[in-house]
Amino acid sequence: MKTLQFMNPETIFLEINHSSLMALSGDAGLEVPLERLENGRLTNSCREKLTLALTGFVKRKSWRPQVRGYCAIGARGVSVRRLSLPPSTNEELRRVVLLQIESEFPLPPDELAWGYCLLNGQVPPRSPPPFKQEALVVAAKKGTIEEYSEILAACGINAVFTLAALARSHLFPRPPGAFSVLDVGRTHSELVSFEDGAATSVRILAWGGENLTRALEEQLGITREEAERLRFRLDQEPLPEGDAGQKIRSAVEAALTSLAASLNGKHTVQRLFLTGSITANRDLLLQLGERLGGVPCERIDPVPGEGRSPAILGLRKSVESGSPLLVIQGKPSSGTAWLARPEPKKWVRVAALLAGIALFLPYAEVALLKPHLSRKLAALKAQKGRLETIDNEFSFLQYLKRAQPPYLDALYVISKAAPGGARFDSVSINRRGELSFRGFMMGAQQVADFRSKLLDSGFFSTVVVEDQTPTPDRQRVNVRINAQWKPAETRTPPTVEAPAKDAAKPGASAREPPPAMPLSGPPADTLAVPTAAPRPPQRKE
Amino acid sequence: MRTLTDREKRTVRIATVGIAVYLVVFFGARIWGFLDKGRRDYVQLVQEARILRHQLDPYADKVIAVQKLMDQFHLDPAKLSKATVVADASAAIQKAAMTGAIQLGPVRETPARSSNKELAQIQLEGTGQTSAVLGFLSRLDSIGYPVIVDAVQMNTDNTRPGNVKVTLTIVILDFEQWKKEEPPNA
Repeated sequence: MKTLQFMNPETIFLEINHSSLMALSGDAGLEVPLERLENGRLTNSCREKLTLALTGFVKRKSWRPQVRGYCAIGARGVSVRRLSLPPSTNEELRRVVLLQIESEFPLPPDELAWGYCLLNGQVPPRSPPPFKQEALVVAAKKGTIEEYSEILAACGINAVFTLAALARSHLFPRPPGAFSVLDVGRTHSELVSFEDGAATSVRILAWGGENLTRALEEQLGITREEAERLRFRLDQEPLPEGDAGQKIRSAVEAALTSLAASLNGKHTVQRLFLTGSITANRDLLLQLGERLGGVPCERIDPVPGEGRSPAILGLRKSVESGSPLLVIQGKPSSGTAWLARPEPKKWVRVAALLAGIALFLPYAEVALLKPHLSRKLAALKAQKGRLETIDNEFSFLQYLKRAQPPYLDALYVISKAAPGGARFDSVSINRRGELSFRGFMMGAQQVADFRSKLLDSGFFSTVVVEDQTPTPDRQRVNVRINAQWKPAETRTPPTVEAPAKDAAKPGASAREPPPAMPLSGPPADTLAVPTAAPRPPQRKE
Repeated sequence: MRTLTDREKRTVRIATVGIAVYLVVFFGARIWGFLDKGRRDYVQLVQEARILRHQLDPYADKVIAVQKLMDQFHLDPAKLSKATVVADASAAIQKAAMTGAIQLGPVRETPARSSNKELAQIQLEGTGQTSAVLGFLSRLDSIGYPVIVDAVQMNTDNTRPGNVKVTLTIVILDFEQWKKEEPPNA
């Protein structure tokens, strides 16, 4: 899963104690000395310096989520209490703890940043348990936590706070029974005691590495720098022989005696783990144990380096192993909101699941739809022969429609163009559009007009008066006319004038003659065309 | 049963993972091949369905046009029989003439040339009022048979005042000639 690390928000581990801030991000470490006012608050210049240093250290990428910070704070100004709580449900627990804090702590809960955990791995029940519950409550001044939180937020770090003394206890496997962890600082030490795996108390001892330096300085009559160097050498080498060695031994023993006195006065310890500025010399540790009444003392040696304080390394180990943290909160559920956020790994799993679904969906489609599609295609192919029938019928019917000659249209055009008094004895038309008719008209002018009208109708392409012979009495002209209608594409269909009774109807002014339009009956004994070419009364649309 | 040591548990876990990997590699490939073949067949079927749909698309309009023409001519080509169509058409023509008050004269049938896609030619003579003759002409295309009036000749009937004598040449189309044609590309 290391390849997916880039998806996780960057995590930074911090420790803030009275005199310094240490930070560790990956392998990079940072240590910034702190300057405080008399009331314990950081000075303005220190805040600015700290913000600058942390911002440069974090170097947050804009595309990555906000940096997660786990911050361990020193025990100075922090109270740790074990509280007995009445039976309560999960929902009620926080309220009950709040009431207990109000009665047990010197400050009201509004001025405290606090956190708690149920002891002995108890999980808050949904229904009230029949027995009393015990909780470990850690409280600090709200102002202190808010000050740290503001500085870290300004550097792009969303931090949660816990107690450094508790974090250190994650550095080693916890032994059964009671034990204590002593972190020796420069001027003071933090002692946290555990019983049955749960912290019982946290104390600040006015004894630090400085005490040992001063003892060496005084006993051996050397300068401070020499005493510091000697302290460092004592961690690496056994005590020298001779007078000098004797003096060193007595100086160290004096310092350890004062430490043992501080410890004996506070607690009865069964096993002591030491971290920080304390000697790693086995002989001296044995002597310390003897002074404590035979308590085994064990020095925990974390990997040295900038930002690698025991608290930070313990905190990192605790977070990486998924151990629950006792989070100190200024506001209810403010800092721990992101702790409950699902891990990116979950999103990776969901993404992998979706990718799997996307990959197999086409195959699921095959399993679901293929039988149906095969059946439908087979049915369609079986009926494909019908398409040929449709094609044949379509082309046949189209041919039939195109081949129908417009006999009635032609007769209608002729009847419309015929002048008054004209009469036709014979009309002959064929499918190719050749017309031939014979009759008489009242004069040569009528013949000319008739021919012009036929041509103007747009129906005929040619009109030929084959024979035009006046009768012997000169009253009429016998004519024989041939005509040819135009092809269907260029032929103008004749328009039919609506009879007077239908003229009032909308859209009845001009119509195409229907194929079923018969011509009017001729005058008696002739195939005569009426002079005014009236629209036949029996015409139908 | 003896409790397994951590080392034995680790061995069992490694063996389980190894067997799982073996099964995935050997059977996974086969299953994958089977699924992939099914998928390829399915894609081919979908392609065929698309082509078929592309072929069928124009037929929606074509069917409507055919239906319209069939309604116009009162004609269903599928119901026509080549053996009887000439007789039936001749009977229908004569019936239409009589219904339209046309007095029929001689009716002559001659076989037509198959190269013209015609089955037969009918020549008939009749007399009647002009309006009746024209009405008869207009009804001929909806008698329910594939007929085309090839030629019309009208003369005044001197024996019966007000009547005209009409001579019609009608051809009956051989609809089966269209069935033999290659269907046009859709």
